[in-house]
Amino acid sequence: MKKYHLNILILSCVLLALSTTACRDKQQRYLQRLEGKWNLASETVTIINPDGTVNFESEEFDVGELSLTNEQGLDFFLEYTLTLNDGTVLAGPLPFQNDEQNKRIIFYNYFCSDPFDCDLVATVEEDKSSRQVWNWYRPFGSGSHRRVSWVFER
Amino acid sequence: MKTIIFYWTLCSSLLLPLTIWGQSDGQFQLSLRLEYEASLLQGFDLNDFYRSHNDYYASSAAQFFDTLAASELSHPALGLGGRFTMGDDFGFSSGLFLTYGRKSVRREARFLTNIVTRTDLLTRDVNLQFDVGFHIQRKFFLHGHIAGRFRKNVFDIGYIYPDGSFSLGNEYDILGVYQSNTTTLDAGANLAFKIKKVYIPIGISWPLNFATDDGLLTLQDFDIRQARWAEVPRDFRQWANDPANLDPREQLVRSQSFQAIRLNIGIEYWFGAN
Repeated sequence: MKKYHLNILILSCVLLALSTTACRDKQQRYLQRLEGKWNLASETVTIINPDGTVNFESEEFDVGELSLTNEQGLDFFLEYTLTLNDGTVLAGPLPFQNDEQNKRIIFYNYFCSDPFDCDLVATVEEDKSSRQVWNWYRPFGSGSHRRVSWVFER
Repeated sequence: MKTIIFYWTLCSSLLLPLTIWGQSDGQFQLSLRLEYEASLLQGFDLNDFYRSHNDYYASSAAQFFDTLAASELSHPALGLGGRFTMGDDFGFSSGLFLTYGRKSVRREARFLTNIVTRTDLLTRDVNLQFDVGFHIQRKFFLHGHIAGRFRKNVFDIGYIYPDGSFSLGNEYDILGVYQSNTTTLDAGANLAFKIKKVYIPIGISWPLNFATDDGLLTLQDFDIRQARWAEVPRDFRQWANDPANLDPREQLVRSQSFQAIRLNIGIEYWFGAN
């Protein structure tokens, strides 16, 4: 085998390895990692005032459970059910997704069943295999905002 | 000029495989490449967004967005490839290589309520370039090239609340993570000289309007279930006050506005070269 044939072979292998890696979808990998049951270890609600001060509204521990399932075998969706410890189903079963950049979590129709303005989109603050921290915000009047911080563990 | 370069390169690339297999004195080398890409943006839709946002919040903002400079997405890049030369004093020369580079640009505007709107633009460029030309004594090279250019743009619009917490949520319509791909076929030319195993190319490339999307593709949010538009508006006032009558052909940030003319200077190390 000539030397340049060997070089072409090496180049082909490198390009093949690169293309295989690039084809693995980050969104899918992350969703697969989230699948299963998560304990809602804490829920912290705070009010952020325009002057930067923060008022704690409530803090609860061991609140409930988030179940993320994929019984239909979909590639880019899971189904979520958020259940409180007393058995009350807060929301679900409904579609659940992360975005392509894995910066946000989308709970579809969390607030209502209309197609628009009913979803809950949370910002991913911490992303570990056994711990997730997701924050979401809503206007609270007079320039204040309400932040809900969910910590999930398993 | 760029059309001539394009057709010359295309014809040469079709003839090249025949010439390679027909010659026995060819040399093939793997190369590792480091380059700097000075790119000059061809469109400024994103600046329309910044300016219209500044205008809309003129009375309630303490700090306005700066616009994006034409050369602000310039960046270093790393790549690898292969080069083939034939003949000793004078002969054919070609190369195929892949480069990757990225650039992020941040802008902030502040409301009087101390909420900061932060935008982060991350641009990732993958270029697959094919050089065809000739060399003199394997020291001086002149190539025409065609390049597939795959530019991915991710544009985050988030709010930083007065306590410092950062949100990309859906509490306000404009917040989001917007994405687009700008794919172009570029044509250009490059000059290079080689000292021992080090090859130094300087090149220029223009995007061709070949199979263009004609402005149909836009910076779009993954979360499309929004009351207004899922795209970044060029006219923020229209988007905010009368979204139903916003013209999607003219008033959204288009993918093609991220096309750029590129000027590259690089350095390559040829493995196994004389």
